[in-house]
Amino acid sequence: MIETDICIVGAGPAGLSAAAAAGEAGASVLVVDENFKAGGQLFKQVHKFFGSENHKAGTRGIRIGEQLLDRARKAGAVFRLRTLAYGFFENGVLGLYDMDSQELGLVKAKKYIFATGAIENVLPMKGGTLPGVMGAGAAQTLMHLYHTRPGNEIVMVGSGNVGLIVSYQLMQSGAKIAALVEAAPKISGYEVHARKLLRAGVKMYTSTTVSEIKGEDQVEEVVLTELDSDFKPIPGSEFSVKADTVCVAVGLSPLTELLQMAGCKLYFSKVLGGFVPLHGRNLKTTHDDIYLAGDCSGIEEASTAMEEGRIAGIGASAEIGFGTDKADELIKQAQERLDELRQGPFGDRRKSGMEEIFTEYEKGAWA
Amino acid sequence: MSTKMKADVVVIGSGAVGSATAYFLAKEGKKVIVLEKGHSIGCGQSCRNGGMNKIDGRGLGELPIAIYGLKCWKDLSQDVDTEYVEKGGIRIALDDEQQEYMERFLPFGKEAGLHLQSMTGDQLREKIPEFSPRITGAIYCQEESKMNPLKTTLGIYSAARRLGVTYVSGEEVCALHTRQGRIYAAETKNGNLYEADQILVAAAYGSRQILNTVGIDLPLYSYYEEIFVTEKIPKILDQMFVSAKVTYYGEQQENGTILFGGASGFGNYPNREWYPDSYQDRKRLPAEARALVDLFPCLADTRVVRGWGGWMDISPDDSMMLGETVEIPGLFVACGFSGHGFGVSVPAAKVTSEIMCGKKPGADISHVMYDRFSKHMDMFTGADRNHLINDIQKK
Amino acid sequence: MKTYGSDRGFSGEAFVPKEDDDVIICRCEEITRGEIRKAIYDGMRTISEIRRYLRPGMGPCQGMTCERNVRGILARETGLPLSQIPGYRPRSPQRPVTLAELGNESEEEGGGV
Repeated sequence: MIETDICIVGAGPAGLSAAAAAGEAGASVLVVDENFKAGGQLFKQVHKFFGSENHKAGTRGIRIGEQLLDRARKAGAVFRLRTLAYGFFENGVLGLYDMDSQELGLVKAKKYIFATGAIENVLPMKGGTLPGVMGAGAAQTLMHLYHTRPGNEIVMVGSGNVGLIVSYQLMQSGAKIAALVEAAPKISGYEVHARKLLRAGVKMYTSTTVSEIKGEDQVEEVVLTELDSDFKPIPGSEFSVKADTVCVAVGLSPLTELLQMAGCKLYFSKVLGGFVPLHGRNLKTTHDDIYLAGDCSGIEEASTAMEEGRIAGIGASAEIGFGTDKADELIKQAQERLDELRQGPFGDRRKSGMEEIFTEYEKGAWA
Repeated sequence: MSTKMKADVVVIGSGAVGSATAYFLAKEGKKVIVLEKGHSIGCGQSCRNGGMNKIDGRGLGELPIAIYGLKCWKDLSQDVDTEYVEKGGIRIALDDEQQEYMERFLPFGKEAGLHLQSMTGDQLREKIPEFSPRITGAIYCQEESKMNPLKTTLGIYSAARRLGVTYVSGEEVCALHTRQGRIYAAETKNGNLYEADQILVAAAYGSRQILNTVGIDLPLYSYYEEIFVTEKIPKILDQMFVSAKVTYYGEQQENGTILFGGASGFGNYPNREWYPDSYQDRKRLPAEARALVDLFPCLADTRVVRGWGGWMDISPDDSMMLGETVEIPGLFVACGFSGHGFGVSVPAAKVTSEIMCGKKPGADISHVMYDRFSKHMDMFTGADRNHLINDIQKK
Repeated sequence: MKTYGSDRGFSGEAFVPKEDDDVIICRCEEITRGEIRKAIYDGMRTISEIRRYLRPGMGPCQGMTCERNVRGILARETGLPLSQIPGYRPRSPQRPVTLAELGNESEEEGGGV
């Protein structure tokens, strides 16, 4: 059995930040991730982040990923990549499967931090199982991790930031966006991203949805239909667009399986992506030895994931006696940065979503 | 706000036994209400078992019901999609001692009307070459079968609903009530009252506490076992298989997945609160995986998709408990299926419905009456998980 | 349609096929929206029952693809809010692992408590 002070599941921005924070506090840290590369979504983010300098504005996601990884390593964190956490068992034991040695192992950590991220939502569509239909995130992975263009003529479904950003990245990879489709009457992502696409001549259709995807062995044609104010298709409004790929960007859902296996209580939050583990401001769940950070605590962004990771890493370490002298101050600073990020029209909604969760957690009815 | 409902029969427990009894009673024109404490129908053993009917190796008292099942299952399958396949079952020996243990049962099985065939490991591998060379011998029972427990349980529920049975879920019974010595009603934690002339308690281990409220106790204990399922693979096996002492079991479903599970020794833990039914022991999956590959070396690269477990209600002689209680007319029980109830759930339900309608049961249930232990206290030999032949049952 | 819970009685309404019934919801098991809707009308009123009856969520991806949509269909058909419809219960192993791999416990790391 591997013994460690802190075991972190997930080496994305949240997990890496937690690893750096816990390592710097002096705790022994093990980070496991089922992927072959650490960095999670960051290694797909070739665009520059914006916001304040605190939040790495002007730096590309991939660079941020490299910096975090470096910092975590320097802090002494041990990385086990291509290692699947296949189950969480009684007495706080985590089961690991090492894909390289093909061996099963067990971890007993004093505290766990789950940073397992999120999964793309699937939009059921007629013809939606044809080759060429994929998530926008999957398209991004193909481009930036595997250096493969997903297709040449792309219909993007969903106008949130993911849909807008990935559309631009697809164009940078040499593909043409045949149409960007949004069911709501307005584009939902940041205006700055939308304008970039409009300037490049991308046709955007709001109050529109996919009615059918047609093709013999793969996507060949996408039939779109207009929606009325009740989101019902308007008969006779169908029109076709030629395409070989359909990318879907209709939101993310937190991945909380291991947390559930550990018995963590869940709370439903529509704005944060559905059922999330109930947790406090200190990012501790209803299980005394389990913290969480990043999208699995509620769908937000890479920058909030990093701050949550820091808070969880500092808090978990302090709880077992590491870095207790600096903990309060560091957490306060991270909390301030986190509050800064949760501002503006998008941030406000997430902030109130989180406050609702904290309130419910603090009530203590789950104990 | 509490409500009162009245019916001819109230069934407590919506698993295969409870639901099938409700179904058969509804066919006889009875108005039935089924009460399920859980959120979902049939979420106990009925949806956690390995989907097989092992007949050879059962306590002898259960044999008549198992054989009655051959007809009951086929009849039911006309109405419900059970995926019932009667292609036989195999009991496996890994050494001579195990072979000898299995063969002790042969005369009893044959007397009961089963077609049993003893064979060597080589003879087994001639028929099913995928079996491991480690197997030294086997007993083949023609009448054994497998079925899809999930589809079956919910299919019976759906069919029972069509016949007018009322199901109430999220309704946990906390007490039974009598009137002038006869069963009268079931009261639930929600404060509702369900009145009926006849009440059937088919609530597995929960039956014990419910019956306690009217002064009846059953010698049942709880035991936890785990099982897993693989991805779909091409057919290699039509027969279900078990070990000589029925400590592990498995089969390949019609959809191609393989179910495999067994006893670990961890199961007899008295504190149920610590072991919710979502529990999975970290040592079980690896041990079970090795065991299955031992039996079928060709499955080494087959992927396990999911594991789970379930609580069983075990009786001292590993056999079911049926019958109308002597203490309280109108009160019936059907529990203690000891982890191999699914295969006999339909015939057990059928005979229960028959006796509830005042008919002669289609199979001899005299050796599985709920009160056999107190009757034969002087001959009671105690619990043995691998108990093969019980002297009481020979009477 | 009556909501489920403490009363699962007949809603009295007949199943009405809809235009998008042939859309595939569970890719692993190829289960359509119509089949799920029909199962709900046949009495399957919880996620657990739909899953056991029809098998969505039982394939190799264990519901990663379909869970959200099955919950959505159940919500729409029963009138229950999504907050009252839990997901599939997660179990070990979290991803499909072969029997050989699952049985290969590391000498140093598998032993102990």
